[in-house]
Parts: sequence; C-alpha cells; structure tokens
Amino acid sequence: MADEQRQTSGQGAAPAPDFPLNPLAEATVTVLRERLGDAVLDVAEHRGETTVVLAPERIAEACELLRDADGLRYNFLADVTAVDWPTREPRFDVVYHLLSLETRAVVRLKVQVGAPADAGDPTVMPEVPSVTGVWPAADFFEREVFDLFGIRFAGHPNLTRILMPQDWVGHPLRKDYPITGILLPEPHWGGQVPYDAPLPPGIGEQTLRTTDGSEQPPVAPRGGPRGGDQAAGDPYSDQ
Amino acid sequence: MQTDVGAPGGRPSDERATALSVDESTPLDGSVRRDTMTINMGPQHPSTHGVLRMILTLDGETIVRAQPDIGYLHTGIEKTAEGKSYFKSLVLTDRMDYLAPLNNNLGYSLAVEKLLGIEVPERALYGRVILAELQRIASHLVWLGSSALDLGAQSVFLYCFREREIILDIFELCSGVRMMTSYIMPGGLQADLPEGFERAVREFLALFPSRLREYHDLLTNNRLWIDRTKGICLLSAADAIKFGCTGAVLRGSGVAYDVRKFFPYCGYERFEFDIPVGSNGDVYDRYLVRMLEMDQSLRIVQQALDGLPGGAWQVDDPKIVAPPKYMVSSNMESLIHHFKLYTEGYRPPLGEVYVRTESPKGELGFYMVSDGSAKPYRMHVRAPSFANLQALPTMIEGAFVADVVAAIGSIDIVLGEVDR
Repeated sequence: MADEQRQTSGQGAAPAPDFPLNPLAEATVTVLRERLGDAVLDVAEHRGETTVVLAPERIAEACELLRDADGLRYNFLADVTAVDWPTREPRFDVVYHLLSLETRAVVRLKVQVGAPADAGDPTVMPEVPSVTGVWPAADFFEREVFDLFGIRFAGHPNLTRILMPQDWVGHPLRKDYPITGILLPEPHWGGQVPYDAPLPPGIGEQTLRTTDGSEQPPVAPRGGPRGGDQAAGDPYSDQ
Repeated sequence: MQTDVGAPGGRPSDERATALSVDESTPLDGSVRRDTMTINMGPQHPSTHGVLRMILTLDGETIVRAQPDIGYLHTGIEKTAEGKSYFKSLVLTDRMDYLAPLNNNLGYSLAVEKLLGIEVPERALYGRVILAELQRIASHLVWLGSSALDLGAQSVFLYCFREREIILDIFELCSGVRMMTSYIMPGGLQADLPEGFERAVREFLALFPSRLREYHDLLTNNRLWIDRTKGICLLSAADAIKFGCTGAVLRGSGVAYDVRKFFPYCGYERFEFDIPVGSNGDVYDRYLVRMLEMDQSLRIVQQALDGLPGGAWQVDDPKIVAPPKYMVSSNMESLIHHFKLYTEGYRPPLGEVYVRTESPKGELGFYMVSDGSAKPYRMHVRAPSFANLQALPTMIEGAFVADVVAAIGSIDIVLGEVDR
C-alpha cells in the first residue's frame, strides 16, 4: 500500500515537493482569453494554482461563461473573499475560487477594485457585479465580504451585514481598521437602535441605582445612542 | 436581538428587520397574506447547536419563510491571525470547528506548508491521517448523539459520548489535551506519536465496529426515527451544488464529491475507501451517509496504522520547527534557532494558496496570502458549515416547525466555524 518510490524518513534534505498544475487550467485560460479578450488582465501561477485577473465589470459574465463552457463546467463556487492592499491602486482583490464537480477543474478568479486608502472618498464603497445570479452560493460569501471589507456587490438580493451587528461602523478586515481602542456606541445596543430616528422614551437612557436602593434621575446617553464620535461620521476619530 | 425596539410603536432597527418584522410576509408567488406569524427560533434554542437564530414566518405549523441570522459567535479569527506569526495562529484554528480541531489544524498546516513549499516526513503524514480520521469519527459521534437527542432519542447521546471519550483519550495521550490539541502543526506533528498510541488505536478499532452496530440497531430501522427523518427536508442534488454545500449534505443528495478522492492530500490516494452517497437528499440519507462514513474512516485508520512508518515526525529544518529542548541548552546554533522561531517565526515567500481538505462538515478551505513577512497577510477560512447553512431555508420552507430541528441536526453545523 505504501508507495515504494517515496522515502520513509524525512531525515536529511526533504524532497522538493512538486505542485502539479490542474490539467484543465490551460483550457480555462484559453476560453477566458478567447471570449473576453482584453478583460483578462493577467494570468499567474503559484504552487500549481492558476489565478486569472479579470476586469471587475466582466466578472459575472466570466463566471457564467466558465459555468457553461463545454469541457470545463465550473458548476461549483467554493469561495468568495477579498484581500486589502491599502496603498495599492486598485486597493482590493476580490477572489473567487471555482470548482467543477464534473471535470475536477479548479481556478481562481480575481478582480481588483477601489481607490487607495488615502485617496478618494472613504465613504464611497467600491463595487463589483454580484455573481449570485450564476451561483446562489455567492449570497453568504458576498455578504461576508461586504460586511468585513465594505465592497458592494451590484445586483445582490440582500446585501446586509452578516457577521457584525447591523449598526456596526467600519469594516473590520480592512487593514486600516484599528484592532484595539474602538469607541463602542454607549451603551452598545447590538443592532437594536435605529440609525436616525429619535429613540422611544426610556431606550438608551441609563438609570443609576445607588447602593441604598434609591434611583438617580435618568441620564441621557452621551452624544446620542450611537456615541458622539460615530455620529459625527468619522469611525476612526477616536484613534 | 429583537427585531423591534421597545413596546408597541417601537421602530425596527434596520432594513432587514423592517422586511421581517411586519406582520404580513410575502410568499414566493408574490401574493400578500396576513394570517402568518413571524417568530424567533434561537439564538438560545437548545437544538440550534450553538447560537444560530432562525427567523421563521409561520402559517400555522408550516414554515412559509425562513432566514438564518448568524454572527453571534463572531470572534474575528481571520483578523486576529493577521497579527500573529504563522506558528501562533495555529491555536486559533482549533477553536473554529471545536468538534474537529485536528481537521482544522490539518487544513491550516497544509496551507502553510504549501506556502513554504515543504513536505512533511512519512510518519507525520500517516499520523495525521490516523488522527484526522479518528477526529472525523469523534465529530460524527457528537453529531449523531446531539441530532438524535433533538429528535427525542436520548440514549443514543449517552452511548455516543462514551465512545467519543475513548477517542479524546487517544488525543490526550498524544498531546496532553483532550480537545484543543494543536497537535498537527506546520512542519509535522508537535511531538512524536507516543508509546502506547498504536495499541490504544488498535483497541478502539477492535471495539468500535460493534458499537457502531449498536447505533444502527437503535436508529437505522427504528420506526420512530424513520418517521421523523425519511422524506423530510429534501434537498435536490442541483440545489445542493447551487448553494455550495459540501460534505454529507452534498453526498446525501447523491453527489459523490469528497475532497479526499477528488484532490487527494496528505497521502489519501494511498488508502482504499469508498464514498457513501444518498439518493433522496432527505434527513435520513444524510444520517446514513455519516454513519457509513464512520465505517470508511475505520478502514482508513486501519490501513494507515498498518503502514505507519518510523523515523522523523517533523521536517528537518530548524527554521520551521524548533530544535529539541536538550539541544537548545547545549548547542549555540539551536539556541539561536529556538529564539528566532519563537520571537519572529518563519517567512514564507510571496504568494497565495488555497488548500481544500475534507473536514467532517465538508470542504474546509484555507486561503492564505503571504507578503513575505512572518505573519499571514490574509488568512481566509472557507468554512463548510457557513456554506451548508445557505441551503437550510430551501430545506425547511414548507416543512413543519418540528422538522426544523431535524434539518439543523442533519446539516451538522458548528457555529464556531460559521461565525469564525
């Protein structure tokens, strides 16, 4: 059962591992180049994995093309995620891992969007066409990217935060998101407080009770229910 | 979390809650009905296997609309990993799918090793396969026990945890820890497989088939169990693929996708095993698939144990694994390696990899990006439970409330992994 060709001990110099390319990787790149032409911006290989960089506006089209291409049939979307390169132009990589359960082909598609962190208006989110129309599996994945990176997916049926509370400010997986010292809304309501409307009486107010049981008059929360700094529109002003 | 704030007249908190908290819901055909009721199931419901919240719109006992709400266990593991060296991030992976920490360790280790471009020795390879398969059995035992408990079969739960304890004892023997072992690490194993490991595993292999038969006796032909599971919460193969389901959810619907067969890793191509698949895609099929998978895991463990070679259990590279302690106190170079490794860590070359492995829940993918520094620039986890959860509304719409419990049990989600 054990393969005789292989060494049984790792002592000494380990054999250099080879990472074979997927047999259908070349065909995939050919199909994309033929059908999309200039929209294929770059093709890279690393450790046997093929990455195709595409023009953002053509991604949904490319996915549909690969799903239906004869001999490839990428019928399974394994994953959608993003990577933030804050100083680069364009700033974000949105990464798609495609898989074919019929032909065992795998490929990674990538689109690059967004202005660098110190340029442009930070409140404007970069936008990529949604691939939920091609694979409904993209629903949760794209919501996660929207939530944690602040990238919009045009055409997504329900683009809301999925992991963070609905009233969260900022996008945690961006590289410029502080990993400590965030001013939470005070008190933090975990998604129960409306953004704009005045609060119903009693909500958001704190009642202080002293040790002898007597109550202090209610204290209104500082700077509105969501905290002064967030309300001023700058999520990082506390830093 | 509530969808409304305060007493009557309170305002819904956000767009999504607005859509859900109005007292009429919109069925799929677009007509408006006013006789439905929207209720919360979870996040503290005992049968949601953690902190899953389901927002159910009911027409009597029938579910018209279901929407899972997650995030209650979000701990920012992906963000945390960006601030830690590769070596330190390992312990985070234990805590994602806390019922199968060794499978998470394995996926993470393979990804880091691929970034580094190294290959582990044979003993580590076989040890990993044995441990990963034992972990798969342990995870399936928790699933079997808890999902049977949800449907009222209480004794199964006790038996399952009895056998799981034997497996956890084996892990404790290896690593000193029952659950969060971090035993599989980039570069091999934390320590050599201990003396007595082989005997302990062989004892388990001798014992477990008879116990597995007991579970089958308790449930497989049990009329009550069949009534609660057969033909319930159907998921077609096309839907399962569409929603990105993997693992037993996909195989229960008849698609024989198993990463161990499709893209063999860690030497799985050397072992003989089958992929059980269902035909109807109901709760019962998913149950049977996992039950039969335990048999196959036993086969793999048996073969791996018979072929377990001696020799090194870590790569012979002091820049990736720390030299043994006795050398650190006697050898200058080892001391430097030890210091450098624990203060700084290793630096994989620039690049990105996606490594898929078959965890007990399905395809567990690690997407890692290295910028050439000692910390992962980005670590993304493609959690199988996260994707499998997307199919839940399709499964339960039109079913009864009681079937929701069966459906959640049958997709075997772990919220630690869903929310990360």
